[in-house]
Amino acid sequence: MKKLEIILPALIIVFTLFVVGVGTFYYNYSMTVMRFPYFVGVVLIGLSAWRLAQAIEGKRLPGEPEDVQEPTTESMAEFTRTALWLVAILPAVWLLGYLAGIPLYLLAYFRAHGESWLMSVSLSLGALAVTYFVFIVFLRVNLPVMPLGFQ
Amino acid sequence: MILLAKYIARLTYLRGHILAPLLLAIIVLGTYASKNNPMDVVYVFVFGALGYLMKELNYSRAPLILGFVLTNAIESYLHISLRSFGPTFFMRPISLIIIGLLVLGLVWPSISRRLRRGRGA
Repeated sequence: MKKLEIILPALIIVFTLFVVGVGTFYYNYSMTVMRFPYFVGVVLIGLSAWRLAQAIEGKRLPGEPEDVQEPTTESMAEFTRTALWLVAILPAVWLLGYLAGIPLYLLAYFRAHGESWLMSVSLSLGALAVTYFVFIVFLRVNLPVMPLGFQ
Repeated sequence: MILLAKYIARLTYLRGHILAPLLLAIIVLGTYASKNNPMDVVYVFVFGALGYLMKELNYSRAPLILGFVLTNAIESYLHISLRSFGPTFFMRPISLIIIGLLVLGLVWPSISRRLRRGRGA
């Protein structure tokens, strides 16, 4: 946790400097355009630097819990598994298209998490019905229904 | 919708591992549908990760959302104010009142803490 407490404000400072730098040196925006980003950037960098200094010194903000538990190997593995399952919807909809990808992703997710076939198939079919009738028929959204992002 | 509220509220009793993927599917569909831009779906996950990180490190997420919603308006009106009244636009009475309220909002938590401590002692 200590590492993350240092990394996040440091990342905010680097990201802000990068964005402001791109506007100034790459796009050569005038001072009129850049004054608002400069103002926000200075405030953001100032606050992040303050937070970074506090994190390095090990100080905590008022109301922040003192005993933050360090993640165990099991909790990290569980977190990684959950995160990967959530992110898996991206390749699923890209590889299979929205119409097939979403129900198949849901079916795989529910089965992998111990749900019965009946529950998994019904929820997946429900999602298929919502995707088709609500988004394609009713809202007329041009969803990529074919694999690899083709419409 | 209000009539259905009682039934919709029952959704909260669903187990997390049933609710999460269903919500995720709707979020992905809704995000893509808004502008038909696949990158928007990727941004959902980027900001989801950022939100998770902020939650874990006790950063407030509400100001980030407010910033996203209000930044366009703030920037536009800053330019309008600078053009109309010059760089000292914030010295006008209404600006001073708002700045005063903002400063009060910022320092109020520490003032009230000290007051409470003073009463307790």
